[in-house]
Amino acid sequence: MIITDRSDLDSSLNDSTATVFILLGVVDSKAGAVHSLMESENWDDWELHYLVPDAKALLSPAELRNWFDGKTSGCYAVLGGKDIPKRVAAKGPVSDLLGPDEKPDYLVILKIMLKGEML
Amino acid sequence: MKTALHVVLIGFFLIAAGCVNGDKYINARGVLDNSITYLESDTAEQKHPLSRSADLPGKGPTLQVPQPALVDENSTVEIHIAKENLGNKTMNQELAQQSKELLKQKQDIADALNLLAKVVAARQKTLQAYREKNFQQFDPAKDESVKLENNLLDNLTAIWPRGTKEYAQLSGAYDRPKFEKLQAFLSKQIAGIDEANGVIEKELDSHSRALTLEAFLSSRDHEPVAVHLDGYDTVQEQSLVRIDRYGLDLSEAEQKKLDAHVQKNQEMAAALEHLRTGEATLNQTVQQVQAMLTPQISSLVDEGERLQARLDPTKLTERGNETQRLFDAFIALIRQQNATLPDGRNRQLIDERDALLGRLIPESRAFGQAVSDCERTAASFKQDWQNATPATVTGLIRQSVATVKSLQALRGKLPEAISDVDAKARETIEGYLHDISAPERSSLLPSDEANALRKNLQDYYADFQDAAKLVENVAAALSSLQVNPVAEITASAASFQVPIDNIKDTLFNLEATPRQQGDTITVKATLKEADDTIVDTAVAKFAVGRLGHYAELSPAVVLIKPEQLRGGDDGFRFAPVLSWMHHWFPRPENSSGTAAIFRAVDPALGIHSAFTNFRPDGGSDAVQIGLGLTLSFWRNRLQFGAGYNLMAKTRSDGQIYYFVGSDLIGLLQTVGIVKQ
Repeated sequence: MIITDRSDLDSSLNDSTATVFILLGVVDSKAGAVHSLMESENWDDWELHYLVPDAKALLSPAELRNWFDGKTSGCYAVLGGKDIPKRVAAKGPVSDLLGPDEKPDYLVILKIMLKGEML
Repeated sequence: MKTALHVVLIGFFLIAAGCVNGDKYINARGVLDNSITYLESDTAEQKHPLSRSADLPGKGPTLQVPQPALVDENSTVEIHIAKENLGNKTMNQELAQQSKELLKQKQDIADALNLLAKVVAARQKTLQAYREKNFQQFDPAKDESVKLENNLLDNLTAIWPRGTKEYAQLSGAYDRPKFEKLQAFLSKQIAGIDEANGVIEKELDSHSRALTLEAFLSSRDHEPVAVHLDGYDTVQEQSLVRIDRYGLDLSEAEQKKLDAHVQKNQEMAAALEHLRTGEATLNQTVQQVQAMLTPQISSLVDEGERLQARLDPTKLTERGNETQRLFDAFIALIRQQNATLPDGRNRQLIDERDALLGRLIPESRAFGQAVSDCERTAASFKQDWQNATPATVTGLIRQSVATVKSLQALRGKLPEAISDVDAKARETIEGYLHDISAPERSSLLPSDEANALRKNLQDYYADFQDAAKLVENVAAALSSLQVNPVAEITASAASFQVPIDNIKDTLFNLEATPRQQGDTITVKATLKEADDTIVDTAVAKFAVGRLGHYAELSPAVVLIKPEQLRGGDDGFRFAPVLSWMHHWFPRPENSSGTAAIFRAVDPALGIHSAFTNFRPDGGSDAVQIGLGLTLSFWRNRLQFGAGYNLMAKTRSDGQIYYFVGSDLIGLLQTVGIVKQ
């Protein structure tokens, strides 16, 4: 889901069963490509993913710092765990989610999603 | 001083000779030689390495192969084969490695398939709990399913790492939540591996090798005998016969041989004694002794002369005329009983008669010529051996080798001899009547004319048979004059090729063979490719002997002397003696000085009974028996003894005696002059 407000995101972040995969970037970016692939795959109901095109507007400076090391695009973070607030299971540049052909790598994305679920 | 020097030199020579332990070795030539190790297990089950290697016996590659090694007549020889050395290493290792990798991958995929089944089951449980909002069950179920799926992903990406073609296919096939495509993908990969492995196994089969192992016992007097090697042939295993180490438990054949040996010694002693006392001339004695030494050759010469008389050209012309006359009488009878016999058949009877005679007479001439050659050879050998001197013996033996070869070639050129003379004659007559009707044939066959003709033909065939036997017997008799002829080894049809993977260690038990001292056992190994190309061959030889303690009965002719003989000749005289001699022959690996001396002079100590007659003037001719001790050297060839004459009443009647003598017959057998 591409989000422009925090309602869905906040709901997910407050759901103790959910694992949240957040990508920062616009639609026509690598992050957008990863998001597009994730949209085309089947995920469980508690496995949620969001593309945030305008991170500065949507996320607080603390969230940007803690989840994305202060970056506002071209990166990802996976938040999981039963406790609220959720903890960061994995984070890094979007390029980590691409294969040698620069296309999104489904198995890598899945593996990172599972990391979040294991918290 | 000079005598002392001679004694020292002789002693040095004896010890040096004794250090040569009788074993011979050749350097290993190939992979088979390197991979086969021989080990002797004696009657006390002690192991003695027969192959030489740089490492511990039987542990490293064989560097020297026995050619031959001396083994005890009651021992077992173990054959150990390092089969890991015998494969086509480069090719097979490469293919085997490929196969191994494929099988590992197959196992990994199969494991992933099993894990996938667990993932599917765990996820179903998780989904159900989630749908039912049962979060108490959901959390642990999700933890379990996530853990399993994470492991599955790790395993799959370990099998097909990122960047490989299969990784992309795997990624496309990873179809959560059903996982049907993934299961199909994994099963297809396993099928592909099975197919690839099948190709490799086929390739491995085409490079598979097989080993043939054969063993033969070669003896001076017999054809080579196949020896059973468990797992390598279908040769029937013989029952175990242990040779008595005390030399007393003799088989029937050994008893006969000993009796003959004793008899010959007695005759020889008597002949020599007659010569000594002047009761016979030197010529008479020599003839008597030589006749004893060459009785077989003599009988062969006699047989040759008999056959030569029957098959000489003049005699054959007469026999041919007689056969034609008998044929004509038989043809007249056929015509008489078959008045309506057509002219063509009449002519045919004559033509067939001529054809038969045309074959019979030239064949008879060929056999006659062979008989003549053989008789000349045997007579010449008899003459040569009768005039033999120590200087000419070696030349005669060498000459006999060449003559035997030419006789064997002659036998090969002769027409095939008839095994059943009666049947052949009957068959010839019946064949002659092939066009005559059965009732008439049955009335013709018992006729006098037919019987006379059959008897005549039988005589020819019997002569052919005798002539062929003569050639073989002369060759065999001359062969027995050779020293240790080594028989050619032919491949045994009973052996089979054992694939390398099925190769196992084996053994042969000498007790299960008809071995005798001096025999040789040859083990031949052949390594072949699947297409029968020979990769390597190896041959090892073992000489059968007696090692350690053993005893034997030894008849000898001795010069015996009474210590005192009142009123008679107290000088040396010839007499037969039978001794029970105890030997100790050291094992080849024993390199001590004592062993060297024992090996060199082969001393033995025993008890004897002597048969003599210390006859004072006017005494009787009754045989006197003495008992005493014998000391011998060189395997009883030289014997010294002293004993007590049981028949003498006083010391001056020859109660104490001494002797020096020799196992003369055994000596002559060793040099091949007397048949065993």
